Amino acid sequence: MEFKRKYALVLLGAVYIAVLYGMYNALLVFGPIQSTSKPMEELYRNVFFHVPINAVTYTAFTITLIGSIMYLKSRDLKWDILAASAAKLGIIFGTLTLITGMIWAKPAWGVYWNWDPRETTMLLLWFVFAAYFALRSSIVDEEARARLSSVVGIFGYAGIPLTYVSTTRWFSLHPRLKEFSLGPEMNSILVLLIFSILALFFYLLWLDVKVEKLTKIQKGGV
Amino acid sequence: METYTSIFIVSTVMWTVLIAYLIHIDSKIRRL
Repeated sequence: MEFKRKYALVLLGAVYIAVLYGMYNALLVFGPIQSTSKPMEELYRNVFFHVPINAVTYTAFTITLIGSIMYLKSRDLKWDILAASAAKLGIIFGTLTLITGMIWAKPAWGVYWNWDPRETTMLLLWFVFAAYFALRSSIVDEEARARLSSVVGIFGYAGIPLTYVSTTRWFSLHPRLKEFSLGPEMNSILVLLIFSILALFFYLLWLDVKVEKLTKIQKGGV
Repeated sequence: METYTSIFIVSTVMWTVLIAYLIHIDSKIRRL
């Protein structure tokens, strides 16, 4: 997982510029869009922040799933470190998803929180992974902690498809991307932001795994 | 338009601080 510092700095610089460019377009260049819902004509701008952050949340918990399965198969603690680091970032980005959603909901729905199926399932997912860390901090033995948290990491992943289908299975006010057309220019900025925030996530994941490994060495572990 | 300009300026400052902080952390870790 080692890669040179200069590549990391180039990646960070590229992400920095790409996100600035994306924000500049989303906030200052693009005008109102055509939408059947009047508030969405301006509020659609939140898509450029909310969607990339949520894409990272899903990716993070998917990596936790992979790390958990790989740990149970190999019993190698490096997979447990990867799963826990990804879950940590998933919780952070999940919180940001909820916050950006709430900021949008206030002008769109009149309230910050209205227990919409999408909001509720997302909160449920957040709590499952909060429980994942409560469990980890309550077990001292490394092997037992890794084994039990892997099980939570695998079963907790069920929350992802649940949040995904929540807008189609139940009555939800949450907008879907196909409900309004962004056009090619806006779509390309959205894709740029999704990839930039994903790149930032992978960099943070690499950094956190490295810190966790160094901490382990300091404690006299692996 | 003024609201969006303010949001953009605040976001830019926050984003710059975050990236600068990450570079700082990165350099500290690599010295270990």
